Amino acid sequence: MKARKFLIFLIILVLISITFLGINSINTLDNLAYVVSIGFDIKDSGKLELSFQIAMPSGGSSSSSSSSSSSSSSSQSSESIINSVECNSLESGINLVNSYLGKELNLSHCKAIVFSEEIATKGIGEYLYTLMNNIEIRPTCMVIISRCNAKYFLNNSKPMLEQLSSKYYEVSSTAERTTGYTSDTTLQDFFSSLTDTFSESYAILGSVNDGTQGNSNLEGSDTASIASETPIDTQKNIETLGLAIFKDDKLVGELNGLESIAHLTVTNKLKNATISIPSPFESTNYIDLYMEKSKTKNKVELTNGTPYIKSNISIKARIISMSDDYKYLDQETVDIIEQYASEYIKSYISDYLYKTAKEFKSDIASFGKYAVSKFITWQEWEKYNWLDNYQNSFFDVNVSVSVKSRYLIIDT
Amino acid sequence: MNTDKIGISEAISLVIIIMISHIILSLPNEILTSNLSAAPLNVIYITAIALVFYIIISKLFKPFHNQDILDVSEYVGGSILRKIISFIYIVHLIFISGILILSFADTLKTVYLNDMPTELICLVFILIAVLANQFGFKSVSRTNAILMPFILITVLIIFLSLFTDFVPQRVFPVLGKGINETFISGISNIFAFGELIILYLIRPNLKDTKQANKVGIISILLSGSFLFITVTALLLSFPFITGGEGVLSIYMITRTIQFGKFFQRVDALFILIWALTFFSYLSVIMSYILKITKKNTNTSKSSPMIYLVALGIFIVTLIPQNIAQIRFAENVIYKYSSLFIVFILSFTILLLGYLKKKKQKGIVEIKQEVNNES
Repeated sequence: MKARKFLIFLIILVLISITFLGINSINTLDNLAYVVSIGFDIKDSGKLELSFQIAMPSGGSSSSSSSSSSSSSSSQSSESIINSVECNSLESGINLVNSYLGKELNLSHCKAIVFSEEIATKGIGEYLYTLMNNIEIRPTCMVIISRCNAKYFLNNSKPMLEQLSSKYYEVSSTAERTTGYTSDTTLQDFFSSLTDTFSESYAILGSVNDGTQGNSNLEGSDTASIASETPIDTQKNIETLGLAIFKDDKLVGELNGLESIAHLTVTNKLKNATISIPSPFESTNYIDLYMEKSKTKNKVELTNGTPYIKSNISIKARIISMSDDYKYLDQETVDIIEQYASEYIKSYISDYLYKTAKEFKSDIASFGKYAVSKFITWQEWEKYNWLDNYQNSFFDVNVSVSVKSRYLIIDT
Repeated sequence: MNTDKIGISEAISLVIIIMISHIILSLPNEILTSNLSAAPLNVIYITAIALVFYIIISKLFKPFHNQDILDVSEYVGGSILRKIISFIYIVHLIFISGILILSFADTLKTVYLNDMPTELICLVFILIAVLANQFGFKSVSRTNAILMPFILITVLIIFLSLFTDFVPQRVFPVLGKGINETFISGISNIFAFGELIILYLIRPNLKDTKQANKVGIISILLSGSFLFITVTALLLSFPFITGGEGVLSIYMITRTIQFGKFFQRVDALFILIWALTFFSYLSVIMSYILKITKKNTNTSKSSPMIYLVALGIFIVTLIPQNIAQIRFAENVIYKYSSLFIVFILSFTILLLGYLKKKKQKGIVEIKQEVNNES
């Protein structure tokens, strides 16, 4: 009896092993090419151009660029190669590159999906559904809208302080925690907003900065810049700064760094950010405020069918710039700065809100989720059509900045 | 001594395994698409109804000490009715388990085993269930009870991992498609508690039949809670599922789970636990089919029947030609067959049995009174 039981156990073990341990699979590291990022462009002919940034497993022994449709000679990152192909769909593009490489493209390590502005303006819904349905692509990979060609963007993705491109994308997405200049948007976030009835989508805005396009019209603020226009003197490389705004699946506008901070503040996602406000004491000077905690309470009321949106924002900040003239330990000075900062922040948050409502007609801040509680049934909510009504919204923004000056090391 | 007697935890696990298997596949999707934002409310509602229904059943079972629905049907309509009911139960269980295994095999093929034929994956599941049943009912139920905490923990992990991504306002509009769809036509979602079929059969296997009430109530409450957890997690995190766009919804959640930057891609672990869940599910269903056949054929050994049952399940897995047909069988055929068998047919027989018993008791009492008088 014991021998019989052992035999049964053995048969079960063998069956499970053969079926589920993948010993019948031909996919090994030698057969796979790992894609780090995918770029989507549209050609003049209307055809899709896919670019794949593929990790070099040998760690940068060679660098090359090739194109199945046309050759390219642009420079590459040391750890990856770019292959681009003109095709009708993602799957057919993958097949074409597979045949060219002699390996199978694997998307399970893909960290970023880059769409060019041109393709995003025409609509990226069909690609997103395909990407979400692809079992290899993780819903946690980033969605970037490139102000330049996506292929050019990937070609210039050269991590300066990282050895691996994949790590570079992973780390760069966390930069929002310290700067607030963009918002980390994953494929799942984007797709959720796209299919939601009370919000619209947005994505990370990216571009290539060659160090020569510094924007001279920044209205005095360093934070009011946008990807590719930051006044940085550096070698050509990609940067992510600002947000790309969508209405349905079509790109309708961009937000700069300061507006991104406003967006993160309103949506309670702001971790830390530094903003420069004009000094209330001297018009040519600036005071740097480090915003470290913000809490926003949003409320939506429907007055005769028109959304009336109230945002009460409280921010804790500290002064990090110094001047020999101001007494930051003096209560009166602190009160003046607090009042001035509150007015300044209120002004740019209001501008951001009206821009999304009147110019873009896109509720990227998800105010709809506060309005939906006013409806009892789904039919009523759909009939009201929040996403179309958002453009009629009026905003009442209240900002209260509490400045902590006690972090100063020296008095002035 | 009957070696098939089981304790409370084993009995509860036997009941829950059915609900959990459906939860892993498409049950939460089905409830979400039919009720939208009112899905959690609907789950609470149907759980309450299932509970009341079970309390009624247990009252009706009271005169039938240590008997199952097949014994009751024999009492009501003789061996012919028992055979008819047995046949209906066997067909239902074979069909549903076949479809469910096919659905899970299809998921496995999509996710990991792309090169392997679905039929072969199904066959492995069925063969393992056949082999497991060689050890007997008690071994199957014990293994299932050991596995159950791990299965339930995976469901809890899924819920907790999504907690930070929840948008609580997605429960609005609170009535979803309306009062009618949530509470009147929404009552049909009680098919989710198709697991009650085991509660009709489990009584003779319990060590203590008095514990049957406890088993039923705990298993309904647990199943209801886990259904509520998964439906709520999906509703609050993925708006597109309410639009019917999430086919492998629970698997989709696991793909987003990561613990810091170090532990990413933990979905394989969930798939492993779920594969074991389906091995266990199929073994349990096969055990009950064998029990029913044994009762009808008066055989002491059920070994030869195992192969026939396995063949029946395998044939069912070959019927659907595409995912649409699998979904139709899983959501429509299972829904209506469960509603009919569990909530109408079995209940009617039980009610008739109860009334007959009461009537007989009345006649006996009258006879006793007459005897006493004379």
